[in-house]
Order: sequence, then structure tokens, then C-alpha cells
Amino acid sequence: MKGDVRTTNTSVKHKDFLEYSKIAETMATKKCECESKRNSSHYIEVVMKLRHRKDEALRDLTTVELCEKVLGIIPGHYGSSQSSNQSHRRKDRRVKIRGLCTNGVAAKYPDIRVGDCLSSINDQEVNWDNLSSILHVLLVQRQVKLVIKKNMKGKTSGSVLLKKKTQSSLVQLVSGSNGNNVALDSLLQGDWEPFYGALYLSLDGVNSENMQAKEDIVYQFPRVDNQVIASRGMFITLAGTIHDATESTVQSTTMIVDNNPVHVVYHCEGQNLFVICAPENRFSRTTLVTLVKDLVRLLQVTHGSIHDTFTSSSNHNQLDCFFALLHQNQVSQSTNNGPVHEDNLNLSQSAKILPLTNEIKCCADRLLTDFEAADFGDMSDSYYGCRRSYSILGSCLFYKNYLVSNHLTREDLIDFSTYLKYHSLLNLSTDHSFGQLVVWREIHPTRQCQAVPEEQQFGYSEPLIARWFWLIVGYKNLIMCVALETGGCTKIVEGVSPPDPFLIDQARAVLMQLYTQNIASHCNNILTSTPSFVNSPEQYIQGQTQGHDLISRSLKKLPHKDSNLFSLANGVNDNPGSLRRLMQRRKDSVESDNSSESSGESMFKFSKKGRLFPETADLLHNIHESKEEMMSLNSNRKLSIGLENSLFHFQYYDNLEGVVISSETDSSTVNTLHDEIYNCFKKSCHKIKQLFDNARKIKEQSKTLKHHVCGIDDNFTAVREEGVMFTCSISQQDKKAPPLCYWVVGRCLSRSMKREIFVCFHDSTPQTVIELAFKLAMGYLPL
Amino acid sequence: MVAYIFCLTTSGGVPVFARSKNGLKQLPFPVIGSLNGVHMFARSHDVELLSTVTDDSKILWKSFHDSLTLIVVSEDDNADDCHLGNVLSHVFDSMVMLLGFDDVTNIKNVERFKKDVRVCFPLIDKFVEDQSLLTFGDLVNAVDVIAAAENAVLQNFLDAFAECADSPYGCLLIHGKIAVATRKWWNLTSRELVLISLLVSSLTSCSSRDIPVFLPDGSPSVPHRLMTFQLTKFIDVCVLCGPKPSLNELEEEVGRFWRTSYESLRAALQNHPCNIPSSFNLDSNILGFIVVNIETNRCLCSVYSSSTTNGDESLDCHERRHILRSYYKHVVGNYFASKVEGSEKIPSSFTHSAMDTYMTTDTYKCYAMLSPPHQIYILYSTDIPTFAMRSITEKTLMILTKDKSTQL
Repeated sequence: MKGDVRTTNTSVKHKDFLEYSKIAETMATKKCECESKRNSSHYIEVVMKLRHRKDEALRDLTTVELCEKVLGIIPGHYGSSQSSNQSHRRKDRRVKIRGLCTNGVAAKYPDIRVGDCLSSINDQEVNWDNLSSILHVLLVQRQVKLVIKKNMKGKTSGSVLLKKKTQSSLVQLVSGSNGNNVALDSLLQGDWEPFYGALYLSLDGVNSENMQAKEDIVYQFPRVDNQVIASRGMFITLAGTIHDATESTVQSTTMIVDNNPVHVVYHCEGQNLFVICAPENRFSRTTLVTLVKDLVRLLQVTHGSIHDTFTSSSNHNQLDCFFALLHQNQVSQSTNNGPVHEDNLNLSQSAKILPLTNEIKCCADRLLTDFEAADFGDMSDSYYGCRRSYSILGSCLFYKNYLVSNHLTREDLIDFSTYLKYHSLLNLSTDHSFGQLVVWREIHPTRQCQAVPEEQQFGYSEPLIARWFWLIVGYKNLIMCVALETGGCTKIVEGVSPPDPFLIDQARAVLMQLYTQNIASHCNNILTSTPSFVNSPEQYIQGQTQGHDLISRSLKKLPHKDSNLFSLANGVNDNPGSLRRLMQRRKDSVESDNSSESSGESMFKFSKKGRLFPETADLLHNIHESKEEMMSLNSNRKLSIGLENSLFHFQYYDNLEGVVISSETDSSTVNTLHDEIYNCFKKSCHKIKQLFDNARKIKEQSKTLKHHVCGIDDNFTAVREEGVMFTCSISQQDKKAPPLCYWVVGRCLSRSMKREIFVCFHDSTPQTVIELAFKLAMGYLPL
Repeated sequence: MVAYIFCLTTSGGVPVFARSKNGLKQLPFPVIGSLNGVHMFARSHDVELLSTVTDDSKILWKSFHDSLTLIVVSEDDNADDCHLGNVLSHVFDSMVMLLGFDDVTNIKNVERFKKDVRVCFPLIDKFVEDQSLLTFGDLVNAVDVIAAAENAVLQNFLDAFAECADSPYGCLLIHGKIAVATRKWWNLTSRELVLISLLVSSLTSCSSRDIPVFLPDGSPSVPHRLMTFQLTKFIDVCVLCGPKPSLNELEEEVGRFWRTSYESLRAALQNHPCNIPSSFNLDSNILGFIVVNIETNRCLCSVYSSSTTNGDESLDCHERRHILRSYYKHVVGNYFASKVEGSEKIPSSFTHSAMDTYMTTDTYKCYAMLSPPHQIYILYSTDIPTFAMRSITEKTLMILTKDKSTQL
């Protein structure tokens, strides 16, 4: 299965199809690539072999079509994307490479990139005026020499060069644009965090007689020797011995190397071991355990099984790339030397939700639903008269780091969010803005790995011969993830399965539509506006806190609209249902509005083929209407009840849906006290969550009949809530001032222990208020 | 809960002893050998193996003075490693106390040492069977005390008796908990206090005994004589003496000094197992508590509230003790630092210091509070409202520490 690189007419690998044509429009991403390859000149020469064409019909084509057919290049105007100013267009007659045809000639040449300028053909300068005539000449030629001017936009001043370089190296790592290889010498020495490493150890075919040096290491990253690697022998021995002693599987080891505590976390795959080690000043033991859990999940999704991942050496380049990226993001944070932010990994296996108003969320959901339905225009089966290759299982949408909309099951969503997180795509979408991002790969979903139906069940069951694919498309700050299935109601795809260009186009269209409808900018507004439902601790430094006027305040805070109340009270679980009802309501109103002009035309029926969003005007109208209301709603919202808002932070974790809501703020504001409180909050959330997780784990363990040799500590299995109070003296000078006290409280919300909420509030808050906040808060959050 | 403790020589890996919890099968030597082997292997690569966690258990290695390596296998308590490390330190200190620092750190004849070390087994088994311990001293590294209104009277008896024994060190143990002790006795370090109390209760009861003990901190190489006399059932008086007086001489004096105290002793004995006088009016929701004074190395614990008599309580005393132990292990090392070595690592990494913490479950609630030099851990029934726990904990701490008889 692995490594069957397509050798047909494109240079892309079909399995790991990553195309970053233009990741950041304003960032100097191109610069770095240019540095290595084309430092001397901005022009490059490409000699292309052309396909012989006898087809006379080509002569009647337009210039654009001709260019696509002959060169495989989609030509474009400069400045045309920003302005439709015809006069401007007339002035700049240079030919821009707007895109490359999938099966075109140019796609074979890696030097030709979207965004470059086509400068000359066969030493003849090209512009829009003579392009057509030049191309007609090419029709009879076999070979052509192109000169391409690289897009050097963004090469500005030297002062910001350093920053740009690190950013673009991230882009390089993610996209694998430096040849999809981590240079061998950097693997051997490089600037790696000491004692950090990933290993796959196997004793298959190794015996002590012929053991020379490192036969037991199947894969190692980075290839640097240190004491940990030298003492790797004990990992396998430990795993075996401990199983003999306690009949349990080894999980982690702590040791001291050169006076540094180092953690080693294992994943046992039969007799073989996948090991990650990291120093404690970077990862606490529990964070490292979570990291390994995530990695194992991710590798199983992308490669099928851990063993396959590491044993086939063709994967090793890809793994090098992946682990280098991991190192860059999680381990060596060059800016700070402290431990990895606990929250980086703390709440993994979940996606952070962006709380949106219902109107916005509805729109986003509708766009996704339209796409998933795949029954419009030329996406339907009947249009081509053949069965489609892929059926869409569901999709989800991310804006920057946040989940905006999700139509996937929990397991699928977590697969996606884990993939995006560890491939830094979420980070990229936050810091940069994608020009184009397409990921296409075959995957092995966790959902399927865990439950294979043994016999045919009554009703629907998933097709047994199915294969699953992912399509991830990014545009600006939005990322759309689509889960695809083939083998069910679709054609059965054998062997190589290329990405469907039509799906990619449509997904991109959805994202662009989200931008035109200002949904993306609304998301941005919510992100940048200061969250009002949490309070800064400063006002408590002033001292006196007033009483809590419970009734008057809570009356004021009743939701304005019944529709809000309705869906909010339903919370997360009922989301699809309540949305559908809301959608229905919306649809009705839209239809009644339009009834005079287009009677009988439902909004989901398309008069024009291939056009996905015919009624944008209506939607736009709706959004503008709701905009004001939304802003006011957001600015007045607070979760606690009482005159003073004494809530500092909160975090809501839904294990059932795999989502998180958090009052996370940008750390742009310099506010030491706030930061200190935030750090304490994060750290204790981590501790409390650990307690909840352990309780869940022990509950699971005590259900099974497995014998626990050493017994089991089941005192905390029924834990509901834990709180910690922190005290800090506010000012050094004034010793008499009462210290600032605040609580961090975590609570399991439902019986099944699937939902957790963590809050941080000032000590002055009366308990009744907290109780009310716990009860009301979740109904009050827009989901 | 400790399952196994193994002791091997650090240099040669020769097994010295293996103790296991009652009812667990002995592990075969190859398994013990390879558990020690990985530790030795790591040492040869300049790596010090500290601990390993599995699905449900935890293993800790610790070498002492390049002489002995102790390995403990226990259930995974989901707590900081410092608590298991503390157990191993206690085991090593027990050997030092009974065999002397020089003999333990410089083993000349392993076979002989294996025979000698047997004398420590009753004490070591106290740590293995920590489930059945009635005291918390080994966990909190402070000695258990028992509060009684008669303590002031008994103090005079003890001081007089210690003077007669020509020793500044004397203490009165009721059920292994210190009722009163001489001023000098309180100057012993926390581990000496804990170990001596445990040692006396680990030995079979007898009317009088005279055993040589080394004080791990005070005099690790020169033994003292620990003499204990049973005054009445469950009450022992202990003195630490030099070469004189002999056991017989002192035994004759016991009756003369203590006869008149009999009524007071009987009265003080009534406070067991509550450990506090019944006059203390604690909240009825309190099921158990631990109060530690980390400066004076004393702790007062109880899982028998005065209202225990009505039989409809959901948690029996054994469970309460177990929960309090688990809760202590959960809090110390995560939020609070204490006398336990290494427990300050994680709490000090918080930017602000935690002063209070609580936990609620379906069957009980716990509250812990720092009020230097005191720490209090209380187990409540679920009937108490969560918001009331803080003030009641504060009030309880006041009651317990301000009273003279508790000497906290």
C-alpha cells in the first residue's frame, strides 16, 4: 500500500498530496525557498517538453484556454484579484501564473509556481497582447523555453528578516518544500533539545550473537546518541519484567540523566516498543503520556498501524519530517525556556470551539450541509452519468485555532483536529493566511479501527471494503476538513486514488463563500474582542467588593430572544436538532420572502448548474441584521451572577463531543498579575483534569475482570468536584493589604463524567452564586 | 498500598530480603533480579532510574549510600513519587536504627547481614502493611500524638521517671501514640520520632524490654538503650538511656513512680481510638481528620468521631483511614508541600501558593487547609454543604490547636 508514488503526469504524490502554492500573501514565504535555490537571480529558465497536438480544434480557443491546453498554465492578470479596475488591468499586461492544470505539462516542473510571472517564451517577451500568437506558434513545436520571474513579494527590510525566516522554516517543514527531507546532517547533530527523542525498538531478528550496534533500533529521531539511547536496552527489559511482576503494561519511566529528570513514555506494540523521551523541564510526565497517546492515534490514522509506520523504511523520510515539525512546535520553543504550555497538550483529543451566535453558526452550517449533500449542479451523479468516486461522510470547519462548525462524529473530529494540530496546520492558519492548502490522503479512521462488526447486522452497516480519504482545504484563515468514503454507494477505487479536483474546487468555493458572507470576519471579531464574561483581577486590588445584587442582575440577563433561549438551553448535545429547527424557521422566512418572484423555487434547487450558493443576498441581509444584535449580546454577556463579575477564567470540556470552550485570551496585554493567575489556572486545571481522568480510568479498570496484582486505589472514582484556593500578596510595599485569594474549581457535570467545567473566580464570590453559575453557565453559552 | 519491597546489594545485586503484602505470592528471583538489573544497567550508563508507572502499578528504585538498593512495587496511587520514596527511606532508616549506620552502609559479609537484617522485619512489615496501620505518622513524617485532659498530670510523672532513669529522653505511648514526652524527646528528628513509636508497637507486647537502637540522625553509629515498660495494657513508657541504669534496676522503680498515676492513665486510655477528649465539640459531619504541625513534628489524627456509635454510617473506620491517606497523598506533592522529602517540587512551580483545597465525591467530601505551621485534612460526610466546609475546617483547626491537652 505504501510508497506507490504516482509516476504519471503530475509530480505530486497522491498519498500525501500537499500543495502550498502560496501560503502567505504578505509573508515572505517564497523568500526562504529562493534563498536556497535561486539566490543569484529572480528569473529562472525552464525548458519544457510539449505534447504533440494534432487537434485542429485548438485554433478556435480563447487565449486562456489555449494556454491551459498547451502549457498547462492558467494565465492571469496582475491586480485582477484585488480590483476589477479595467483601466488598471489594461496598464499591467504581464502574464501571471494564476494556476496550474492538474494534468498539464507545467505541473511536472517544480520550479513553476502559482503566483510567478511568465516573462518570456522562447526568448520572446510575453504579455497579454502577444500571448495568443505565441501560443499558436507553440502548437507545432515539441519543446519550449520559458523564463519565469519568481514572485518576490515581501522581500522588504532586513530588520524583520530573522522572524520571517523562522516562520517560513515552519512553512517549509509543514509543506515539506525543502524536498520533503530533513537534511541528514541536521538529524545527526543539529540543535535538538537534549534527551528528546523518538524510538521504535524491535528485537525481531536480533539476537545477542550477531548484535553489532543498533540492530534493535528500527527508527530513531533525531539520530543523535546520548545516554538515553545508550541505555535503551533497559526499555525492552523493563517492559517484559514488569509484565511478569505485576501483569500490567508499562507506561512511563522517570530517570535522571546528567542531573536532569527525563521522562520516557512507552507504547507497546506486541514485543516492540514505541518510545518517546523528553526532559522534565519541557514535558511533565502526564503531558508526555498525552502526547504519546495523540501520536499513536495520529500514526494509526495516517498509516494504519504503528508497526507498519516504522517498519517500512519508505516512511522514514516522512516520519523525520513529522518529528522535526513536532520538535519545532512542541519541544524547542525558542522564545521561552519554560515547560511546554500545559494547555498545549492538556486538552488534546478535543477541538476548541469558537462561541458564535446562532445566526453565524447557522450560515456556516448551511454552507457545509450544502456541500455535503453533493446534489447540486454538476456534482450530482446524473450530470456526468457515472457513479461518483467518493461520498462525503461529513465535514468540519476551523477558523484559526477554533472549531466553527462540525458535522462529524466525535472520533472523526478528533482524528482531524489531532492531525491538524500536530501538522501545525492550525498554527499556520492562525499566524499566516493560506493562499492555497490542499491535503489529500488515505486514512484509517479510529472509529473503524476500534469496532469491526463481526457479522452482518440488520440495517445499515458500514461497507466492509470501504476505503477512507481525507480532503483538507485551506483558504486564508479557514480550514475545511472533509471525510470521504469510497466503496459504499460509490465506485470502488482500486490502487491509486487521486484527489478529485472537482471536490477541491467546491470545497474552496465554500471557503470563499464564507469570506464573502463575512462569516470569517465575524469569527475574527469575536476572537479579537475582549471577552466580557471574564473579569480582570485588577478591580479586586482596589479592595472593597460590593454586595451581590442577585435578583436585579439576573433579571436583566435573561436572553432577549426566545430562539436563543431555546437553543442555548439545549446545550451542546442537541445542537444538530435545534439547529435544524432554526434552519427550518429561517428557510420558511426566506421562502415566504421570495414567494412573489420565484414561486416553487426552493432555495436548495439550482437553476444554474455548478453554482453552489445562489441566494447569498438573502443570507447577507440576514447577517447584517443580526450583526448589531450579536455585538450587544456579546458585550453584555457574563457567566456569573451578581453585581461584580468575579469570574476570571473558565474552561468547558465536553468529552462526549470532543470539544472545548475556553475563555482563553491573547497574551498580548502585558499584565503580570493576570498572567500569573492564568498560569495557575491552567496548571491546576491540568491537575484537576488528571484527577478526573484517573477516576475514569480506574472505573474502566474495575469493570474488567482483570486481576490487579498490587490492588487498585479506588477512593476517588466517584469524584465530582475539586477546588484549590490560591493566595497572592498583591503589593510588596503594603503588607497590611489583604491578599488576593481566588479559587480554581473543576467539576464533572454529568453522571457519565463526560463533561467537565473549570472556573477561576475571586474568593469573595458567595457559594450560592457559584452554584447558580455552574447550573446556568452552560445553558448560556452559544454553541 | 505497597505490594512488594525488595532489598539487594547495590554493587553485586545479591538479594538481601524481599517482603510482600499478606496474601501475595512471592516473585521468583529472576524477576527480582531483572528489576534490579535494569537499575544497575542504567547506572553503568550514567543514568539513574527513578520510577516506572504501568496501567495499575508503580515501581520505585532507590539506592542508599552505594550499599543497598531498595525497590518498591505498589499500586499506582496517582500521587507524586515522593510518597513511595518516603516509604523506602523509612525502610532504610529502620535498618540503620536497628543495625547501625556503619553495618548497613558497609556490608562485609552479605550472608551474615541477611541473618542480621531479620530483626528489622517486624518494623519493615509495618510499612508494607500500611493498610492496617492505625497511625498516620509514617505517611506525614510526624509522630502521632493522643490528646487527653490528663496529659498535664502525666507529664509530671514522666519527667520524674526519666530523671530517675538518668535520661533526658522519655515518653509515654498509648496505643503507639505519644501522650506525653520529655522536652528532649521532642528534639529528636521527625523520622526518629516516627520510627521509635512504630518500633515499639511493632514488637510483641511484653512487660519490659531493653533493646539497642541507633538514632539515624542523632547517633547513627553509637547505640542507645531503648527501655520500655508496660504500665498497663496498651500503655508503655519508654526511655533512651546510656549504659546505666540496668533494666532490672529501673524495672523496680516503675511501680514506685507510676502507681499513683493509674487513674489518670485509665482516663487517658479512654481517649483511644478517638485520640481526642470527648469534651471536644467537633462538627457532626466530620468523619476524620489529620492535623500536622510541621515545626514540632506532631500530628493528631482521628477517624472515630464521637457520633460513630450510631451504626448507619456509610464509611467504616478502615475506609475513612484509607481515604484520608489517599487524599493526603493526592494533596501533598500536588498542591501542598510538607515534611515528605521531594513534596515541594510541584507545589513550588505554581506562581501563587495554594492554601486551601477540597474535593467532593458521591460518598464523602474532603477539605485541606494550610495555616502555618499547621496543616489540616478533614474528611466530611456528604451532608455538609460545600460552601460550609471552609469555615468549619477553620473552626475545627482552632479547636484542635488552641486546646492545651492537644499540645499541637
